[in-house]
Amino acid sequence: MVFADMMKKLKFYIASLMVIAFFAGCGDEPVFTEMATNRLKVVIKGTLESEGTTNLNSSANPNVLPMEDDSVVNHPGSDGNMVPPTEFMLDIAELRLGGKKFANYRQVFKFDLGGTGIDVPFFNGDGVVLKNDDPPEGRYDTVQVYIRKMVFDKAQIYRSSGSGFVWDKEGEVLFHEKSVNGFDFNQLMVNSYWDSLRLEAADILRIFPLEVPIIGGLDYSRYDPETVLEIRFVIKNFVKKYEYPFYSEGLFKVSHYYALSDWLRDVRAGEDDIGRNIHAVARAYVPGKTGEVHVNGVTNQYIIMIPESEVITDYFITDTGMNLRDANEYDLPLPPKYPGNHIEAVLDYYLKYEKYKYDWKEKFEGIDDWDILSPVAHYEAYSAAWDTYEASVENFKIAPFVKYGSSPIDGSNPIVFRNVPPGVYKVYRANKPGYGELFHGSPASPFTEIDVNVIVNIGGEAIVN
Amino acid sequence: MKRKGIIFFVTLLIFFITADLFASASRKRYFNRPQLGIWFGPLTPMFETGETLEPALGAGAFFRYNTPIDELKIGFETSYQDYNSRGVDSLRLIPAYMDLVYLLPIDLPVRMQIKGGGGFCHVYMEPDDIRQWDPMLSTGLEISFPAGQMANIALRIDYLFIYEGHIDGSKNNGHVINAGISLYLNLNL
Repeated sequence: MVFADMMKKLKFYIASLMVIAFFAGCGDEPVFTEMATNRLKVVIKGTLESEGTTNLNSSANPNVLPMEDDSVVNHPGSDGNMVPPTEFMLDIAELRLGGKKFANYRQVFKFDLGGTGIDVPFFNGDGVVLKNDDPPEGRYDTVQVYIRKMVFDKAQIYRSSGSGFVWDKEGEVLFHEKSVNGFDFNQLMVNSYWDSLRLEAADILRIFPLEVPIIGGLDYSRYDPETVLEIRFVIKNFVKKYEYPFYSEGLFKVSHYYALSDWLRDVRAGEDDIGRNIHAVARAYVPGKTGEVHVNGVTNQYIIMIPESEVITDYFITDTGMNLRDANEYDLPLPPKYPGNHIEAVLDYYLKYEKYKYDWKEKFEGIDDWDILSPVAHYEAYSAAWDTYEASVENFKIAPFVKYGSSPIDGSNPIVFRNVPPGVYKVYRANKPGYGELFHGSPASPFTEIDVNVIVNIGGEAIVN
Repeated sequence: MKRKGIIFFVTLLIFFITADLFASASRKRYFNRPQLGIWFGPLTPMFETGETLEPALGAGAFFRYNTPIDELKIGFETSYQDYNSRGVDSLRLIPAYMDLVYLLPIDLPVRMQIKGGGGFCHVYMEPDDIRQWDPMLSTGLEISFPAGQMANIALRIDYLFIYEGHIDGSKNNGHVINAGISLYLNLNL
């Protein structure tokens, strides 16, 4: 009785406090509940496709083109030690939305690249959930992923024997505080030939953060019980073998390692950087506030779908990355690196330097009117040529909805895009790109329009034929 | 009417029981002046609040004034409490509340006081940028050592309950324990 009485009094006290609170203009946000709940679900995937496993071609032989990049010149060709990578390792430090920190948990993953059969969630369309604290309410158009390390395993180091190269040891790298076989290509994610010309060159490590556009935007509201932010990186079947030359105590060595394909920004012989070749896209949806799109009448093609506000020209480049770079006549050879104080290496260096001077002169004399233009005019033409090149590749994006397959025209087995936020969409189809490539034209668009006025309603099924 | 009678009787009883203590201990007189103090110590989020927030250090200030009853003082308390979480969230609390402080009638060289009260707590959550006032209750215990006529040094422990149950969608309330060492002055007002 006494306790009940006390409770009654307590309730009265709280009630009166509430009344005072009302008059005092007390808050209406449940702060302590807010801190304990997580409404944003961040999912990462390693495929070009927005659902299911990838249909990009796989390659089994890393010792021949196209899996071996044409920049491998010191020790190219067949080598029994070099097998395709089996693991992809990813170390994420932080996530931000539009510059606002919302997850500062270090998250480390090892994904089995496997064969073409059963995939791990990162590669089979299910995705892997990243821990986060929710962002403040609002609209966001970009998500920044701070990637500490990206490693493919099966890296090998070879040393020069004078007449050729012999296997030295397995490449090793620290990953998650342990030494593992592999090569961290994150550190090479810059473009020295382009980025170092820029004023902002000091802060252009393109991977920390990696700026990922959220196509269609993310509208985050605390009133939606769950919002999903899906970030996709093109990793599966988008791998090439590269070569990293270095001197170790006077010995010339090369590390052969795997990294993402240089299809967009071609890597040339003598270039160590392989930067800005990671393709990522994000999209957001609120479960329960989405519709579906069914596509019929396609035969073994890629289907992409983008919101009405997007332009299709951002989703392909007009030629292969290699040809685009070939078109730049001011793409001059790079000088060799000074190897340190071992006499054989230094002698090597001077030989390479002579070769560099010769190559440079030859290339320079190939420029139109090279002997007429003044140095200033050359300088201006140089920056203009690189600006043109950059403009041809910098806007490339991958579509928020991508799927591959066949579907009969009668609608009996459609290709389905699920979890599509309401709105108007454009649907295109394209042929499957070659190994290590994405969509490029020559220069016409690789995409054929299917329907550019697909209206998606909540709970609805839009049929596209 | 009957209840009022009981309250009157109990009050009278307490008065007579404790009247003897006043007469004997002159030391306590200093203690019975208005007091102004500060405290400093660890802040520990409890229960569900402790699952998201990390312990921190905080500090506060208080002022106490006499009531007609010698053992009972009325006080005002405020403090600054800044908590981080394991993630990106952080929470700043500035409680501001009134309480009644009762000096337990135990004749020891140390003074033991219990207290209870209520008021409002300013809550600021980052990075969501929510700032608002929430109602709160508090209760606590204090053991003080007189350090001369002017000052007292005390150990204190308080439990603060920040109420959000009246807000739509609320599942959790705030629970924190403040422990601290405090220094306060007996003022000659």
